Amino acid sequence: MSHLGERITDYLLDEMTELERTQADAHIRQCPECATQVEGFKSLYFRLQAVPASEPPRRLVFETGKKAAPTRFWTWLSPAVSAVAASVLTVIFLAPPSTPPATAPAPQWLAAELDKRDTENNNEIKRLRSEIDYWESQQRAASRESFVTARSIQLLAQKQASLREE
Amino acid sequence: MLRTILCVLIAAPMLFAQATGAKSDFRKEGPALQGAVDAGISEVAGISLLQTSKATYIQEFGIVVTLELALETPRSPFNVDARPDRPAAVAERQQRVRDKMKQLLVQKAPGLRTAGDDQFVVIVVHIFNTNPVDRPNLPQQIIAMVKKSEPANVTFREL
Repeated sequence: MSHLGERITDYLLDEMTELERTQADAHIRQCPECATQVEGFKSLYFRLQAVPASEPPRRLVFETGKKAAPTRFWTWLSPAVSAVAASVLTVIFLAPPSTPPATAPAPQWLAAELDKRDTENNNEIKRLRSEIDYWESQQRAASRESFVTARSIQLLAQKQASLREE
Repeated sequence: MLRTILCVLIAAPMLFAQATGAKSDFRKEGPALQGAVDAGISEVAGISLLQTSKATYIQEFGIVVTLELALETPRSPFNVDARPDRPAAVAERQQRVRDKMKQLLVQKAPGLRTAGDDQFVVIVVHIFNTNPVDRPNLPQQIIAMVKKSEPANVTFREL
């Protein structure tokens, strides 16, 4: 088996399988380097375990999302920035309104062309609607015809059956 | 004699004007009524509208709207195993068609200018029996009739 390397923590925290642990034990017995490392980590781990647990300060637990207090520079700058923004807004509101750019009327030929196209489109829509109506009525007629045929077949079959019985 | 002729001469233009007014009203109301009946009846799931509604104004009687539908599809002659819908489902559809006819008459009849107050509005649904062997007793027509002045009082007849 190669050196334990990063798996040393798995060994110490008992997160190895039975087979891996047996192999690791065998390796540590043979390899002084790994044995030293394991001893060092083990002593550090036990020392850390011996340190008494203490409650973290309330500031760390409950105020992690709070913004840091403003520095002295920002404390001074903030009123100045507000004052400048207020002056700019005042100037903007008090300034005489600029006249909107006059929109040029649409040329007459353009209006006529648009009207013509509207009419054409409306006529096309009407034509398509009437075509849809026509095909729907055709479809209805076809389904009615097939229904009539199916009904006739049923009646014929019934008559045949009754004749056979007689 | 002279008095009779005078009466006829006075009454004739009035009657003619009334009839002409009803006709012009019906030209506008007829297609709208047909569309409403088609749309309303088509809402009943499972039916097939075989002929869209046609509205007619009959003088001194009122408006009659007729249409044809099938309550179920026919049994396929090519598939022996295919059975028509359950009788209960067909009866339910028939009842829904009746309800819809009533609803249409109650909603539309009072607003129709063509028909006078003492005239009627009628919806006649012709039922195409697609499976006559299975349903020999299915009615051929359902007639719903209402007097314009009494829209809530819808009467039904089945033929």
